[in-house]
Amino acid sequence: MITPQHYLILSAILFTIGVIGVMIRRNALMILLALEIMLNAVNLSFVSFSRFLGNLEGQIFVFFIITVAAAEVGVGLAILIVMFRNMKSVDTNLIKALKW
Amino acid sequence: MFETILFYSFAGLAVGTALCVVFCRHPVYSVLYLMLTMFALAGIYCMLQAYFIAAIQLVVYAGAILVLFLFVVMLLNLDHEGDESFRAGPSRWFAIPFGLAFLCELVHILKEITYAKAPSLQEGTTEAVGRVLFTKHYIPFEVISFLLLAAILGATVLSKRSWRS
Repeated sequence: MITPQHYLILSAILFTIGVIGVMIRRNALMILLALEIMLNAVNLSFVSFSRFLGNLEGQIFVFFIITVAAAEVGVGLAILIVMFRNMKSVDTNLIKALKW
Repeated sequence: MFETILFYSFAGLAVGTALCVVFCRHPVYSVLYLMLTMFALAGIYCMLQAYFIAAIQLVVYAGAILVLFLFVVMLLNLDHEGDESFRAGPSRWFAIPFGLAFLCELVHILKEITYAKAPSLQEGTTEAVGRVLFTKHYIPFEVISFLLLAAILGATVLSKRSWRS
């Protein structure tokens, strides 16, 4: 029998994988991909709460999260392209103009 | 029984491909593995009777966002970075212990959750979600269009080479 906890723990595992990905990668593109995993994990817990509490508000939330993720990816990848044009790399260790 | 098998196969696929996304050295493979993760999650949304969300997961995430990622990976030509880009600074030494501790805490909290029995099962069909979206939540729906407009303008301004030439 699949209980709500199964879905929530799956969501927790995916979120943790996203966190580890943000911490171990230096490539800015990979960090954006790990962020997408984290957003999906949160979406999964919203949908499972929406299912097991019997109202649709959670799915409305997921709809908005997906829209915001699309906007975030559009702007984030544009920033990445500008960074690559200026530095010939997307290594996050090279961005240190604000780190003095 | 059937539900259990379905859940574990989708969950295993999602976790396995997500691990591949994080640990795979080649960006193109990472993006393709993430696409598989999205497909597995869409299956899980179908099991949770959120059919509309499963459909936009496939169309918007797998169809639009990841294709954008794939275009950028190919445009930037990141092949030569290889395993040098794999190594972060000192943060990578405590990433995995920290992540496991975080996961233990989350699981410990999530185990405590108890539900009252769901009053009425509502299926997340397009009609049901649309009815809630356009009656109760129409103002956020309008506001999100401004966000998308801002994202379009921002991406255009950022990727334009120079305003003078």
